[in-house]
Amino acid sequence: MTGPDESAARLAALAALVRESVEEEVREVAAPHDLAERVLARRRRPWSLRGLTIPLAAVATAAAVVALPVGLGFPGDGPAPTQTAAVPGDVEIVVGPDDLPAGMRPQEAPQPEAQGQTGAVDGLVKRQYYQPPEGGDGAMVEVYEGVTARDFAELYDLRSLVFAGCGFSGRWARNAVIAACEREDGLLVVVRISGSRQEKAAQIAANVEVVR
Amino acid sequence: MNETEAEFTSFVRERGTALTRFAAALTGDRHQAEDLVQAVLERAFPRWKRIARRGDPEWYLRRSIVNAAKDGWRSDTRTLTVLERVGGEEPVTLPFDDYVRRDAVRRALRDLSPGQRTVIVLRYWEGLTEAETAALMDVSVGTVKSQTHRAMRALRGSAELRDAPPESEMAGGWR
Repeated sequence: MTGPDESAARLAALAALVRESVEEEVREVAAPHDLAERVLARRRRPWSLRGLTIPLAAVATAAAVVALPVGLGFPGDGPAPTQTAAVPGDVEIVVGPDDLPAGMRPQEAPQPEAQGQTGAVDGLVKRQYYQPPEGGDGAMVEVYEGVTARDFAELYDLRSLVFAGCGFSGRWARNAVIAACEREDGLLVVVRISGSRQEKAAQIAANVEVVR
Repeated sequence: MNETEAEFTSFVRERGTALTRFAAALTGDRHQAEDLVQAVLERAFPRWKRIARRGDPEWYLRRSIVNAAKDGWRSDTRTLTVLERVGGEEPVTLPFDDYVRRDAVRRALRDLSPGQRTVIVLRYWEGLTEAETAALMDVSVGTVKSQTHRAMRALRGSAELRDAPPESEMAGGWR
C-alpha cells in the first residue's frame, strides 16, 4: 500500500470509528415523552421580568419587512401633541405628548403587499404608523397580545434594556431601532423608529397607552 | 389547544427523538441535548406557521441546533458560550477492544472544539457531503474542509488514540 493509500485508509477507518462511536453514544437517547407539552407549557407559564409577572402565550413573528422609512433621525426634539390611532381595531394606541418627535402624525397603514411584508404576524392587535407630513423618518407602534418581550428579544437578538424596565431594545434595521415593552395587562408594545436611539424607542414603548 | 399547537405537538412527537439524538451527537451530552432541543423548539414555536409553510421544518430545526452546537451550548445559561472542554478523565492506554476504542473516540471527540465536533458529526455520522455540511452550518465548503482536516488530525493525535495498534492490527478492528 502506498503512502497516500495508507493515509486514506487510515482516515477512512477513523471516520468509520467515529461513526460507530457516535451511533453508540446516541442510540439510547430519546426525547422526553412530553417534550412538546413542556415547550408549550413553558410558553404559557407566567414569566417574571424585573418583578412583573406577565402571562406567556403564543407568539408572533415580527413584521419582517414593514418598510419603515429610515433616515438620519428625528427632525426635532420638541413635544408633539398626543397621538391617537385612528385605524380600526379593538384598542387605541395613545403616544405621550413628549415622546414622538414634533410633527409626526398617525398615518394610514401601507398595504402589506406594497411593503414586501413576508409573513403574517400572529398576535398583532394594532399597528400604527407615524410620519411627518413631509415624509421621511417614521415610527411604528404595534400592540401584541399573547406575545412576550422575550419573543421579540429572541427574534431580533435584542439586549436587555434597563432604561424602560419593561422589556428589550435593539437594532432592527440598518438605521432603525426597535423596543419591546411588556405591560402589566399582558399586552406587548413594540416600537420601531428611524435612527439609532434605542433609548428613545424604549421611552416611547414604555409610555404608550393602550386604550381598550 | 389550537391548530398550530396541535401541529407542533404532532411534529415534536414524531421527530423529537431524532432531533434529540442529533443534538446529542453534536454536543456529546444527552442532557445538554434535551435542553438544547427544547430551547430550539421554544424559539421556533412562535414562527411555527411560517416554518411549517416552508415545507421542511426539520431542516430548519436541525440548522438551529447546529448553529447552537457549533458555537458551544450551555444549558445552564441558555446562551451560546464556548463549551468547556471535558478533561480529567482516565486515559485508556490499550484501546484494542472495540468498545474501549470507541469510548476513546468519544472522549477524543469531546476534546474537539464545538465547531470541529459539529463538522465531524455531520460528515461522518450524518453522512453529509461537504457541501451539505457547509449549507447546514452556514459556512463555506472551504471552512468545512479545513475544520474536518484539523479535527481528524486532532483525533489521530489525541493521547487516547495515539497508542492505537499498528495498521495491520487496525485492519480488523477499525473496519
